[in-house]
Amino acid sequence: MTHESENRRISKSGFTLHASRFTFAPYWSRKRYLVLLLGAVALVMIVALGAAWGSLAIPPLAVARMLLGQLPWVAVSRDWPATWETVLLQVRLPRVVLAGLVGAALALAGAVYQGLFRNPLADPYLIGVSSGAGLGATLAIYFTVQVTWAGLGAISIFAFFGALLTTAIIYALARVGGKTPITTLLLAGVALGAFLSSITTYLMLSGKDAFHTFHVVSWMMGSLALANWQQVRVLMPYLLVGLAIILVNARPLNVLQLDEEQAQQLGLNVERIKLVLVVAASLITASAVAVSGIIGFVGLIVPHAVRLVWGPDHRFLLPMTTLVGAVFLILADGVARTLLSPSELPVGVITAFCGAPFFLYLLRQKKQAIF
Amino acid sequence: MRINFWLLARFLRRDDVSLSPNEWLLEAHEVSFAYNGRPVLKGVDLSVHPGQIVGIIGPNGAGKSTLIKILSRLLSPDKGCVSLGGRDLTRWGPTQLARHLAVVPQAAKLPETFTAWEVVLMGRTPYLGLLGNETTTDMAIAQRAMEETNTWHLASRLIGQLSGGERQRVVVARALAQEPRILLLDEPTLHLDINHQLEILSLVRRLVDEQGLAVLAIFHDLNLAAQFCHELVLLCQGRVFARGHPGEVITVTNIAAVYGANVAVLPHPHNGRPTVLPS
Repeated sequence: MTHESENRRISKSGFTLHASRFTFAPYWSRKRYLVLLLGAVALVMIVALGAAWGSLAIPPLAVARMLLGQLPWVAVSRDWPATWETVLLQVRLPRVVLAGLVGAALALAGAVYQGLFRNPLADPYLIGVSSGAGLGATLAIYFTVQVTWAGLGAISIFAFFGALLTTAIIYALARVGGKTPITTLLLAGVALGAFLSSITTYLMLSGKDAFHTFHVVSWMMGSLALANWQQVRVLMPYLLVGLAIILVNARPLNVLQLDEEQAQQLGLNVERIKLVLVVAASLITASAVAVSGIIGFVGLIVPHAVRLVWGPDHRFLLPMTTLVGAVFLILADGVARTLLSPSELPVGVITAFCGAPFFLYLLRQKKQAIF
Repeated sequence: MRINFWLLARFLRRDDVSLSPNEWLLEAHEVSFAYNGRPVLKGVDLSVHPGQIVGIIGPNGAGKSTLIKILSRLLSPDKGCVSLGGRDLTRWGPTQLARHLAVVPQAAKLPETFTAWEVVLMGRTPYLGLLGNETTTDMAIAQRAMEETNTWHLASRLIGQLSGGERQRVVVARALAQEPRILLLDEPTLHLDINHQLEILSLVRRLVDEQGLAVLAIFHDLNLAAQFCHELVLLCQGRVFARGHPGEVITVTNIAAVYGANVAVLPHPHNGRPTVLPS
């Protein structure tokens, strides 16, 4: 249902002033749903394409048949070599799916932080996740910790809890009299982040074994090389729960783009919304970092690109950012593992290299304020 | 026992409000507030009745904006209390409060990339549930608010493209979209051209007369305050210096005592209200 309204004011001399024809309609129109649906379909296709792409050449038809053969109700004659099946289903497909999940998580968290901090430079690592995860991973490597849990190694577990603990400490530090001012949160994040980074660097450089340093550095650069289905199974629930919580708060996040006083005067419980969003975004970032290390640029650039094309309303921005982030990281990882075949580039190199010029191009196209 | 428990639950439920329109009264009683030890308001008494425009005037630093923040529950007073509709302000839930009280802050910060329409629609936030989106009714109300503030032709423009005065009117439209019973305005006519100043104030006056809105507005322009307000409160250094009809408050002696300026006060040729002229 649309309503149309004309506003024509006739001045005393008979001229028409301020004529405008503005139509309004409910936010979730058929067109918006369609765009999201197309995005989801594109994501599925990119997953299949990403699985087909790799150093071992597998003909696309065989890929399609292998993937379809996984569906329970489809019968396909199995006439491909076993190595193809192992590579596709146990090595490549989990890696592509994990890239999608990590990209979605980082992009979504980046969009949430940009909205919360009302700052275009915000990324998912803003309040301590990267320094906390880095310290956790360094401790696990330095002390050669050998625990495993739910199929995840010590590094992942330590990184996850390091990230969450750091964010909790930063939030607690910034809380003054029942309120958590955003600027204080930012400053506390920077301060504690620097402190933890210094400890991490000390541990890295004072290690008895040079291999430790190399291991920490390569972990911090972020990589999806060791992806397996177990990691996908662990990451998926965090992402889904975080996504649900964040989407529920999408419209309040719009209102938070006014300053916090105005949002409060409009009836929002600003402190509770901030807490919920920080917790959800930190959870999905920490879980992504636990399985893949610290992949930069995705959380910073993807939300901006989506905002430039589709506008700043978070009700559409957040789901679309999730989809675009997944697609982006799948493609970037595809390039990272095939460009210097047989060796691999860290995926963070590709995200930065491809992301920056694309973003500049979008900026010049639109020529308007981006935030 | 069951009935008593039900009554107790109704009494304690913060969001339960059921008063008749005649009882909408915003009252501040002996409100005192200090910023980091520096006293800003000292024992201010104030009340705004439906159908009344109360104007707050006073020199800069007299505590006017702080008073609005206390009345809208952004700050809580160190001493004294504020009550709305007979209930203490602290016992109101935030959503309920926002449905009855709207604030137009001074120089409100707006996001540059949202359209004016989207910003005015944010005024309907208190009426939307957790997962709710704006209905056509909400949009119709927002449209009417924009038409009344003469901002409807700006609906599809980005905030970043609007002038200061246009943004101010958009904020007023947003406050009106909240359908409040009490409207708090912090210097609503700042940045506006004279025609828009008169437009906004006439609109507010009309809403007060027709719908029984209660308005408390801070003015820096004494003449506008005298023209549009039923009652004026002159604040000086955090205290109420004078209170009453504009004719009683805006006098040469009061202005000289509070502002330290020598002025002439003449009756307005049309309605006899005081007009301040430099002397």
